[in-house]
Amino acid sequence: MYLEDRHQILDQAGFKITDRAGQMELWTNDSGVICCIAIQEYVSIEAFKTTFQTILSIASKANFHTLIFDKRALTTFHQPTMEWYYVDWKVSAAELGIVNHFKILPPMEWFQKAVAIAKEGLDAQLKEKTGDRVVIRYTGTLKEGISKCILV
Amino acid sequence: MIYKEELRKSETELTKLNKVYRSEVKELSDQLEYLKEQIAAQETMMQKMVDYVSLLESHIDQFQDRLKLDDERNENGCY
Repeated sequence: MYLEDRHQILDQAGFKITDRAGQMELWTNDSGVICCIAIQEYVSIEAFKTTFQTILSIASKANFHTLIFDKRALTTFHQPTMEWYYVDWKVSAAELGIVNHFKILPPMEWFQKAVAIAKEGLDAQLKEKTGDRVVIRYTGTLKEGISKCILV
Repeated sequence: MIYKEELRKSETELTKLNKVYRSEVKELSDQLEYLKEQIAAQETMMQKMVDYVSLLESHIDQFQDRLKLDDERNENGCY
């Protein structure tokens, strides 16, 4: 249901689609916000890395400071992908200026718990590499995430 | 002449079908890889959850043992 609304919400908030790779979509606006939306229940490590390398490429050409990552479509996550995302990608992104992260998790409590277990230790590794620069927040909906970005 | 033309048409059709077949096989193979990776990831998630529940169980057991020991000490008037 929420996936069907995403175009309208993002269009209204001034976002334009910049990449659509099949498993994920990338949207950007002129205020330095990138929005990444998972549109399948599982994103393969290859597709994930390709999309997130594209984000780095976008961020290297213009000033982007915030990433909204909507993962509500996911029912499974891949541990090595998560480790790469946390420990490698977020460090590279921080170097390019993307330091604000808004995450929208699937509503299933068991999924949220599984994520919490899987990222044990990863937060500490990220902090060791980036200090306090990277701020991760959780939000419930795309609209909420976008409105919170304005306050950052 | 007609035979040659027919042969050429058949070869073109064959090449076209071959191309379609290869593309469909590749698509199925990619889909299979995707599903295999998804299943492996689900197994890892389940394993981690089971490990976590086992850890919680062992903590609960340890806590119950401590409570039992405390009760016994209280009954025996150790305090």
